[in-house]
Amino acid sequence: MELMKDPEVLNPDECRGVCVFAEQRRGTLSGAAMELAGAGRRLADALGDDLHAALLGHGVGDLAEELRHYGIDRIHVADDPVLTDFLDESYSAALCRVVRDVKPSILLGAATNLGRSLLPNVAVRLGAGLTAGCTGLAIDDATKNLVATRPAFGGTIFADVVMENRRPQIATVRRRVMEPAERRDAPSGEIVRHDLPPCAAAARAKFLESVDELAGAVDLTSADVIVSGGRGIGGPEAFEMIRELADALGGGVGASRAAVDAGWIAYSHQVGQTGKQVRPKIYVACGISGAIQHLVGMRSSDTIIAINRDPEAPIFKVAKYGLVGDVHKIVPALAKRFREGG
Amino acid sequence: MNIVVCIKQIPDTTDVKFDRETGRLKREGQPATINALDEHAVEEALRLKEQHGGAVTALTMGPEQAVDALKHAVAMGADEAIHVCDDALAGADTLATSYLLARAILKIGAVDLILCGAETIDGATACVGPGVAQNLQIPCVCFVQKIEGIADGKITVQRMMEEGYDRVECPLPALLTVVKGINVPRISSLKGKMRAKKRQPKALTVADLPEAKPERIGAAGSATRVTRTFAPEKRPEGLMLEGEADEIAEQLYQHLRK
Repeated sequence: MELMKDPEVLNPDECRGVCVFAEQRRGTLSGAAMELAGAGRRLADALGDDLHAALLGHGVGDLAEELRHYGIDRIHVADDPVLTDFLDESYSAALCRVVRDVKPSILLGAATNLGRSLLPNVAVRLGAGLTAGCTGLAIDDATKNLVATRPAFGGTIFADVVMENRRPQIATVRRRVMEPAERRDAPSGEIVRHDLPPCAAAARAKFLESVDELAGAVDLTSADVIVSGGRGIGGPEAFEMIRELADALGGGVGASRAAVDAGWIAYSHQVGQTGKQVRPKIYVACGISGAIQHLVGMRSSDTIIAINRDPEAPIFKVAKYGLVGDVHKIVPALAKRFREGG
Repeated sequence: MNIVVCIKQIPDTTDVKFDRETGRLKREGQPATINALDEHAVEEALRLKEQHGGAVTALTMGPEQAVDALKHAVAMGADEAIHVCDDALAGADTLATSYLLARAILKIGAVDLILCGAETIDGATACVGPGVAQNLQIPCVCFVQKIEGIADGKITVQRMMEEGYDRVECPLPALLTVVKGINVPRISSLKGKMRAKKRQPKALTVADLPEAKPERIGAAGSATRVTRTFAPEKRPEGLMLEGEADEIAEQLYQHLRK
């Protein structure tokens, strides 16, 4: 192992505009790309500068064309077989290449697993500051610097962070916080191809395969509705009624740590401090008492509905609607009522 | 197989209190603990050592009391513990922290694998692990939910993604950050606890890392600065619905329909 040489930092005077990393996986653009295009547009307008997007992959010409419908001024594409699948080394080398060419003042990525792997690596390569997991972005009127707002300590406190002396100012942004850019019928924006010199983005790691476990199920981090079960539902078989309510509401199934630790449901469903951070429009907590570990993962949901037989349960403190009673009766009753509609 | 595990001591968040006036965290007299995901990283390192031999070194950067987190790792079974502690490191952000940790790891010598918790519960940036990897110019895989195996100097892992997982093969040395699903950490044995009591972690200061450039550590080496902290807005009081299940369902349905 050898320490990386001191990074060649970008000259702040030469940096302009906003660049968003347009995440794609296996030929599909992530919804995060449109959210970042929306956030990036607002920042670029505040600065009076251009909005750029960086798209990495192989055979992503169609995706670049699609991005032309989201009000981005220039779409920078690195299309190369080594970028077919996400590997930290190849993607960060390629993104740094684009950033050094474009010299944006601000670089935004999504706080997805991919973005949270990639951007810290890019920040070190560029010697730039990174504010992770942001829920707010603004331009300071006086200095024109980015002010990035992020929660810490599980959302018990928020901090405004500036990266005044380095460029680009990098931020990863949480899913479902930013208003996405609207798709326009008429394409606009210019596509700029960035050729990677041979081996510029070679990776020592090797991508073997991607295993899709969702198979039609809902990704909790981008879900509109989540129904979660906790210890109070009593056992693994009770996740059947949770799933039925989730289906009735068109949502995904979540779980508390207690339910996961008891082995009732897979870890990939866990919401909370050591699980997923979610932000759906509707979150239904069934038989979940509301320990801080759980609350930090879901309390920024728009509407929280809690079902618990204990009226003193802490979950009711964050709930817009508190349903007091037997979860085994209420959950099926809700599923039935929402299926009936009317 | 020499493994370094980077760990952090954090405030015990179930007890986090902060001053509503200043927005600052009350740290004094608050209990502290090893970051939960770092415990999973220590556990995974111990399991790999049991399979492949070698040694496990726990490494932390932090104030004096952070020594307790290292002792926790030693009680679990770590062979060595290194504590980088120096006033000059105060105010380090993830950029400065990852640089300094990389410097400290080089001092350890031959290292095959570096493990970190995917993120801490306090800062939750998930930046230090990949930052250390890039400083050391070694391959990195974040959010690892399973190590499938190690053979011929290569490690095969499962990386948790939103829609499932990716299988990635990586030559060693490499850095992995791990998620909770990877294992269930062991409870420290009495023997382990006794060992941790006797064994003082090795203390390093900046003077012990002369190659570390002063302009790249602590507040000077940081590229981010917190300008304001504030409490989140309080949610308005919720509406409690009671009665028979069917009645509750009807009431909620009518409310949500609006």
